[in-house]
Amino acid sequence: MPKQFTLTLDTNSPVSVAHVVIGPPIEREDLYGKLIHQVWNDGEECQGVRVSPSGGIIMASGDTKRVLVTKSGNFVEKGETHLVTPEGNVSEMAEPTIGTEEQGTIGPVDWVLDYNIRSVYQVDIDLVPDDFCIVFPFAMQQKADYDDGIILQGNDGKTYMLLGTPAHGGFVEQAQLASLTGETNDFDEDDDLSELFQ
Amino acid sequence: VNINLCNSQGLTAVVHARPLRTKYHYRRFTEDGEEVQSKLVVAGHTGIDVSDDIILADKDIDLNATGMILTDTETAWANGGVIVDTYTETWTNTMTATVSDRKPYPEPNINTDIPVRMTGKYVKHEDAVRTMVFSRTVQLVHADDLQYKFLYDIAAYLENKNAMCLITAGKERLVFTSRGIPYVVLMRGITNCGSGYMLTLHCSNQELKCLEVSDAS
Repeated sequence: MPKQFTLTLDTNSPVSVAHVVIGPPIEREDLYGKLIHQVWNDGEECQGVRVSPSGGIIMASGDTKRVLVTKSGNFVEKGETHLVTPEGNVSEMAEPTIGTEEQGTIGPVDWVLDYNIRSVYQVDIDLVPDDFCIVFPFAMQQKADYDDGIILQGNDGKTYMLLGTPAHGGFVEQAQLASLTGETNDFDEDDDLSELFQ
Repeated sequence: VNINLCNSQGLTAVVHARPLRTKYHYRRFTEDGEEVQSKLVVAGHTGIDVSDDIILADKDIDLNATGMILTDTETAWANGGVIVDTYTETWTNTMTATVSDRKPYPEPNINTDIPVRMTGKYVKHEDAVRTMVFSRTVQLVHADDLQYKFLYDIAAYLENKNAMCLITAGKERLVFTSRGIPYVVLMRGITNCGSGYMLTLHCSNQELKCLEVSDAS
């Protein structure tokens, strides 16, 4: 059963509704290769280990696990907890997008530059985004927050869905260095410089 | 991090770079309102050695250590129980099913004596996003007035070109951290009508393409 969902599009779009079928993820290692081992001087394979700052604890990296612990030291399951936003509200989990309908926004393709992309999928969509991209909230499974999904056409003519998070940079302005430009801080020729040494 | 950057006129400056990312500051609580944190613990299979030396013990599971919370541990590499400084890695190409030559570890090359440079290779924004997957964004910022003018001029130059410029260290991709990922980096510049600039490095280690399945396979 292919994973699919529906996009409701705004008035800038040639169509009002588009159906999207998601293909398998495109992993980097599928395209270029996979790291198979780290080696030492003469080609001997090495093992990842965890070391304390003093070198006192050394163990294979695979022998560790991440767990949730309360401040009083009790182990808890993820299902027994809830997330709270920075504003102090209980976070509503993002529900999976698969099989549902999401609102998409049409925009120029260079919108993609405002995101850090985490994963890529090839998709089939009954709309050719040849000179625009579609941005929408997306969650492959229930999680703390939605990713931003972006659908665009690659230079190879195929259509892709990118999942990422915003990476907006602001304009950087020249700082106003009052101490260097303000007249009140200037010295006159008859100022007594000995005050500077006190 | 700092970047030793050379502009298209051959002028150089060491400027500051800050990663751009969305940080989610969610906190997790139990139903009783007690905050919980994610910790690394000993799961325990092949053994653990709590000692002052750096020998990896190859002994049976230590039941007393299982579940012990580990703090401030770091990842290292060991060979025959001794911590070593690995210097190469071996990759296999899954497309051709061949093992490639060993590659040396990537070391940072953004702030060395040889500055990273604008190569003169320009890519339109639309073409960049249709051919590469940008997984990391870094913004360049100034620390003084001279750097402000330096970076503002680069941003204005790229804005006028309406294109992104390929940035390299010699002919190598940029590596920001020790053993980090080598990135193909395109620089984008925008100005704010003379009162500010935004100069960002868009880092990619993957093309936007899918796996071609050959007839033979």
